[in-house]
Amino acid sequence: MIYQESEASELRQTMEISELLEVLGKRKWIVAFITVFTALAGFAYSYFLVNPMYRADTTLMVSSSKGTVSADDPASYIDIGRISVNQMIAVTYGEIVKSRVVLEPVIEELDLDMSYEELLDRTVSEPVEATEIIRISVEAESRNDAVTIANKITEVFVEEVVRILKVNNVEIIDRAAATEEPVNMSPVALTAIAAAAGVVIGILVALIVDYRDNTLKSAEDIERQIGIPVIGSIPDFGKMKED
Amino acid sequence: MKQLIVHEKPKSPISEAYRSIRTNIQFANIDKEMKTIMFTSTNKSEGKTTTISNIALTMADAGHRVLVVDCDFRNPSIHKAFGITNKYGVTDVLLKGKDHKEYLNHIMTHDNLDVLTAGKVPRNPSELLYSNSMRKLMEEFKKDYDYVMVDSPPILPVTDATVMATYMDGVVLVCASGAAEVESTRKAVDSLKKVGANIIGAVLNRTPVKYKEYHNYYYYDDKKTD
Repeated sequence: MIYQESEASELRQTMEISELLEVLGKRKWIVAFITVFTALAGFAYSYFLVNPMYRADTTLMVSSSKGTVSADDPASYIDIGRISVNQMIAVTYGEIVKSRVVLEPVIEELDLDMSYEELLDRTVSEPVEATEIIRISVEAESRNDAVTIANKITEVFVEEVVRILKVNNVEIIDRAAATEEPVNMSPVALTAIAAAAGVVIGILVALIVDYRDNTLKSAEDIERQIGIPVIGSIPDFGKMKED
Repeated sequence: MKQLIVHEKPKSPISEAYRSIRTNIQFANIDKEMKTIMFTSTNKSEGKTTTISNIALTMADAGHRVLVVDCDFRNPSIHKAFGITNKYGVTDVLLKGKDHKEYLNHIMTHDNLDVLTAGKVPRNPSELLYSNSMRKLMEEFKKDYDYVMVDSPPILPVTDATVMATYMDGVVLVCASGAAEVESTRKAVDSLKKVGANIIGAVLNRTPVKYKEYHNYYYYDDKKTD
């Protein structure tokens, strides 16, 4: 079994690029088949099983607690300390938006056919980086639904803030507007990604098949692995390989 | 003579390959009396019959007196390659004790090439091939011919070829590229070695040709022979 050990160590050596290309050329149908298969699967999945989703965004601003703004005191208007406090409040409020307190009434009032978790899954609310603004995004299968839910969440949230914190420091900046195009991946893009993955998988499979193919292919194979001389090779022009 | 490219296209690179095998067998024969040569393979359909028939033609072309004998009683096919009938053959000689000369087929294109087909398929091929009458027949052949080329069944499925290897001067193993597995071929060669067969070497059949080589054949005529 000395043969097999030496063979294995040989195989572990890095394959030459030309060898790799030769293997792929020989097994091109495997690669082609797997690529086409995954591309079709990706297309079928995205086209038949995934509904396009639309997103609606609303933005809110945590405004400063109503201080008196006088024309001769601009500093009171732009107060760094107050802004950073507002930023922290924005983070807190972002979390409140996602709480049951807000989302469950929304489900009830709109009579939505989903659980709290499902709605939470479609809702994102977070401060817009380092500002006092909170953005609430809702995804739904129609633009209308997305807008309705986003607006309802905003509305309930504002009410709840007033109820819980006894402050009225949230202002709506933008009412919900839905995206024109679906936000999830288009069938074309997903098919392309699936095809690319198929090429990679196909190449791997081709290499594995080639590695497992333990047939004698050349005169060297016979002399090295069987240990008998080769007295001739008959060419097969029917199987001519393009180089 | 459909399969016999050596006859159809003597100038083709394939015929050239058969001729280089002939040369190698002639060299192997320098050391030793090597008159009876069995062609076998690990498994079926690796191209024994085509190989043996074409090499026999090149041998005859070189002026040797050649006899091709079909001892593949399980799947006789030599007669198909030469386009002759298999009404009578080796089994009739062995079972009826007739003179083999009665059943020889002379190949019209080569007056020094004879063919003895298998004949009717017997019930006990292995015993028949192991029998003394079979060995005697081989000795008879040697008197009249320079080379006796024997077609046989594959090694792994049946014992016929291994049995015959015990009284053959030389054995050639036909391997089809991409079909013969390393392990089984090793097993086949081991069983030949066990019975003390003199393995001349292997013929690699159906070797894939690269486009470049193909080009060389026709434009530069510089095929490597090693």
